[in-house]
Amino acid sequence: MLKYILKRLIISLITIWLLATVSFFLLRSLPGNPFQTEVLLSAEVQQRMISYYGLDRPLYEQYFTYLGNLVQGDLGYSLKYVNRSVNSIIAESFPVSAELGLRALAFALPIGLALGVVAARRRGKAADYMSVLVAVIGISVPSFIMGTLLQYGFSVKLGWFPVAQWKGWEYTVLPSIAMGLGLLATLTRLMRASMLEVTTQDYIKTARAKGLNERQIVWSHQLRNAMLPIVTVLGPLVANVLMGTFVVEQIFAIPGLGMHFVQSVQSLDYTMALGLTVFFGAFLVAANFIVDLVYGVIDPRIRVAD
Amino acid sequence: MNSTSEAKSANKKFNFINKAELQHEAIVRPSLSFWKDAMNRLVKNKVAMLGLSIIVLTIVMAIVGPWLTPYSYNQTNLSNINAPVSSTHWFGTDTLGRDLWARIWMGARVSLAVGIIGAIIPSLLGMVIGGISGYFGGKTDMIIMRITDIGMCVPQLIYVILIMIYFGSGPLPIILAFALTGWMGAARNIRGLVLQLKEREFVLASRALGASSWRLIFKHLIPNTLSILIVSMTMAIPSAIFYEAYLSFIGIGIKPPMSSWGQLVNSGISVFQIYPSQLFIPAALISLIMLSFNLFGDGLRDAFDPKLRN
Amino acid sequence: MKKGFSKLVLALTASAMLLSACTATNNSSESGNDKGSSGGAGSKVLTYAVNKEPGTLDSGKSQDDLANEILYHISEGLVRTYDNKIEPGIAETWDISDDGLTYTFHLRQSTWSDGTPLTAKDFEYSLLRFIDPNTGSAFVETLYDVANAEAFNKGEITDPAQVGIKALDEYTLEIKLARPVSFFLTVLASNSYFYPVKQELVEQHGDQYAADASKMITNGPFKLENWVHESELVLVKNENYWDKDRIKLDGITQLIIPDANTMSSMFDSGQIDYIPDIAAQLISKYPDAKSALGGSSQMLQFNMDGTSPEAGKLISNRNFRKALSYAIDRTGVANAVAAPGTQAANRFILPTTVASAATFHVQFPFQGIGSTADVDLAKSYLNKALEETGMTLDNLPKLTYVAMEGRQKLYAEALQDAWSTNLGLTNIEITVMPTPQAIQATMNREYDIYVQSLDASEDASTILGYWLANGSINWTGWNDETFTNMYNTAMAQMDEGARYSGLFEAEKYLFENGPLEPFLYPGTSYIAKDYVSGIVRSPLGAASQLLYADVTK
Repeated sequence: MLKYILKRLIISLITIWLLATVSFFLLRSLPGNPFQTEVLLSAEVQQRMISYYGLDRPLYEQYFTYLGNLVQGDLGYSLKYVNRSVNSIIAESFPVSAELGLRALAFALPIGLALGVVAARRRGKAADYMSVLVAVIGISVPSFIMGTLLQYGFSVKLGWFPVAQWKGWEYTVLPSIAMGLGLLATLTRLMRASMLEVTTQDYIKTARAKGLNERQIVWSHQLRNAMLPIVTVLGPLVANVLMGTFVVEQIFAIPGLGMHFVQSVQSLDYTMALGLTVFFGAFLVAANFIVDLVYGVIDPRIRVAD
Repeated sequence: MNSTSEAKSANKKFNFINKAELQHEAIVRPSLSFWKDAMNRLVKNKVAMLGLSIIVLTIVMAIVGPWLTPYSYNQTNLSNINAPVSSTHWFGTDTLGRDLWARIWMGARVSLAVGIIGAIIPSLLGMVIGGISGYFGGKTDMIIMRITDIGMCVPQLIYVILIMIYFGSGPLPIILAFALTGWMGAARNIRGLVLQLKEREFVLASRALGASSWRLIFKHLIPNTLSILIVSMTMAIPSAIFYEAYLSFIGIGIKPPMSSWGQLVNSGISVFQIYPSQLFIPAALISLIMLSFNLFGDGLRDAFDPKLRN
Repeated sequence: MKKGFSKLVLALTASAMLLSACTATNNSSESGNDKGSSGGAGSKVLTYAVNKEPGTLDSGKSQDDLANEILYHISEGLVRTYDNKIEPGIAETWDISDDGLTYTFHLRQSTWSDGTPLTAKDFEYSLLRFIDPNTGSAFVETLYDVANAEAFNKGEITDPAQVGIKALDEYTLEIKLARPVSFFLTVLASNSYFYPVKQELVEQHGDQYAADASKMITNGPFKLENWVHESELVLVKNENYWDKDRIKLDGITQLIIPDANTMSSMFDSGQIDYIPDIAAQLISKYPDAKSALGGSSQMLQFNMDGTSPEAGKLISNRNFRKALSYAIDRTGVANAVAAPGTQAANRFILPTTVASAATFHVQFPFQGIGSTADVDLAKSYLNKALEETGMTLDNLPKLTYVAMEGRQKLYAEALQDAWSTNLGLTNIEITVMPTPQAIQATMNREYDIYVQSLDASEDASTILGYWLANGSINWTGWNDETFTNMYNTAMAQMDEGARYSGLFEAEKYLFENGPLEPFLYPGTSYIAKDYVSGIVRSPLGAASQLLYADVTK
């Protein structure tokens, strides 16, 4: 096991290096430069800024400089927020996004799984169709509509919550729900399908035949096996959710990371975009690693480690 | 001879049955192929059929809808902007005075195409790649999974902008972008399932009988992942529709003045406090078609599940 | 194996419970501030919202209008703008030599917000730092008129003492120009780059100077107390400001609220007192909104070479461009999709631009183009163009209209339809791109039609100067010697009246022959609660000037 973990760790580092490399060259292959903003700069000024930031040096040279800094954990300075380092922006924004994401998960995960189980157990009955409805609303009403409607209803009309910003517990409720509903829906649908998949398996029939009661069957046989597809999606899902969502953060004016992911690529803020990519990459690689380990816990027959 | 034996047996406690009439081995149920059988059960599922009818109706409307009104989807009228729902403009007009009925059904063409194709292609791609990765395991799995890790982390926007620059804007580049970025999630899901399935008894049995890897993957493993796949596919449709909206929100996407549902919702949201119908009509349509796809998807899933046969 | 699974379930539930119980503690200090700033008893705080974070508050490197606006309130240069006029700032008086080349500023005795004295040395340091090539300032060209500034910035000379910026003594600063620039004071007053920065802090923090409230010290009527990035900037009154008695507000809180609906809801529920820029789609909610013109001018820009030789032949035809221009309902577009307060443009120079005797428009009236479509005229121009180019309506080359997302795309859709309906042109295709790629496309001249928006606030010459032959943003392929000579001759005039009438001739020439058609004068609409008074909007300098505003609840 230890050997496997060590091997995975090395492979993870290689993955992140490849990711940084691919992203670096793809990003730099986009037309345009970071100094083409809505406030128009002349061609000469653009050129001067390009050489000030060393972006006119040969690309491989910039690449090695970047890698050198990356190894030391230095992601460089943003080209848009010129006096803020990417490290400090991530340090400031990530906790906010992560908190929002965790709250959304804390809301969505238990309810979503429970709904999925109930729907599968009451398949074809009213409870099942209710869960389909909840799921469909969750999926097809995207978070930007949900967020806007929640905000309008509960903040503007009813005045129960603050309209926007991120300054305390009461500020987190609506954005967490707006973000969580989509997750909840996804989890409900997957859990239902997955539960149905295992319901007809032989070992369930065996369990029933040997006289186990329903509760035991559901808890120790069905759920456990039905969790596998959930765990698979949960890895990248958690990574994604913690990294922030552009839309919800925008509607509720939350100073999270989501906005930076979009803006940095859009405005060609190379250092920022690369820094975020590498940060997200490290996170996702770790999440998928954990997922693979959890596979073994859930179903010991699975040996990813081979 | 026949008559004598009959006469003989009449005197005995037990009668011999004519073996010729005996049909232990007969296949009582009419022989149906897997597909025929699935179709039968699908047709009997009323809820799924309701879903299908709504989908078909929407497709029909997407084809004929724009011609039912005299207004064209791209004809602006700056003196009649943001008009409410009325007998001339059935869904009102937008911020440039364009007829929303025409725009919604023109948009349905784009959105349904992007949604359906954009959901199917990456799922199929993911299924094949994930199936191979999960089945072969070991080094193959490690390499494929690390590639998906990298693919998932490279900001999608970079691919999308590159595609738009080299292939122009329109529904096809969007589907391409969606396929390019969407297969990784599906691949990971399928791979996880296959990892679990390949240790199952029926796979072992089949392997013991000498089935080839390809047969195992495509005949045993993948069909058993179909139910999960269909669910994730139906869920991918709205993502594709909104992905298009998101792309045009940040400046790439279909070519103006063409419309799409995602874009209509996008511009509807900005005026919903004043002209709520501009948001609610396209949003309700998206939700309705989504509900239909989910109901139909569930029926499809049940129909294809061999274990539910009775 | 059973254990393993129940552990997982346990961990999941535990984490769920933990999370739902935990509170957002990391921002509690900010919420404390907010309670203070959102108008607690006795404190006069004006809270308003903008939609983006300023790029940087390092005045030398600042680029965007948002930074300009914050810096306007927390800093003060030699002279300042207020209500479209130039007022003394730290310089109490100034002398201009007869040849218009030497400006001598006499500074008042004032201090930084930390109470340390502010002297002419600080200005000398700050201005030299601005043009120092090692600083990385974007808009250095604004100081190229200063003697040797260009050479210093380009590294041709390295001794800053040769640059015409000198502290003669503690409170006297001399700026020597290379050529007379009649609007030099306006340039100095309306840009944030010329505000003083404190050498000690710049050297202490290096690249991170002004990255946070604690990493900068300024000298304006307000000082930056707290800055939560992407969330809010809290400004409080600077008790060390030389003219603090005229400042009525105790503070200004600028919230960063990206979404227009959210901002409007916050205004309705009383969380903000002032919306400086109401989104077009929400304007009907606020019948009392006032509007003002901004400092930029929008025009249709054409690429004379075209995306193809055929396209070039068509687009370089003056009559074809006029046909496009006359077919547009500018007022209709402005009312439907432009920012509220936007007006149809009939010429390039802004109505707010001041000439020697009155505003430029009053002093030099010019009919220009109508605000609504003149379809008949447009058609006759089109027929002339078709005749001259030998093309037919159904056989025109494809023209590419490059636009960015958002308002620009809506403009494009409206114009495309107007050209198709009014002129029967179906050969114009819209290509929407993100900002850098769109600008790159114009720079590479991979476009036929583009809507250009350019700053025009400082002087009538600003908007004309962009279109000189081989001008630095003249990406139109129109390099006209006549126009260039007209402009340069006008600018060489020592007499202001003569200079402006020369510029007027150049404007007319550009209108007749140039690769541009006037489109819109972008504006903004704003609304404040009725307990807020003294908000000044200006096309020159910061858009919202809240120096002497007041809140009386």
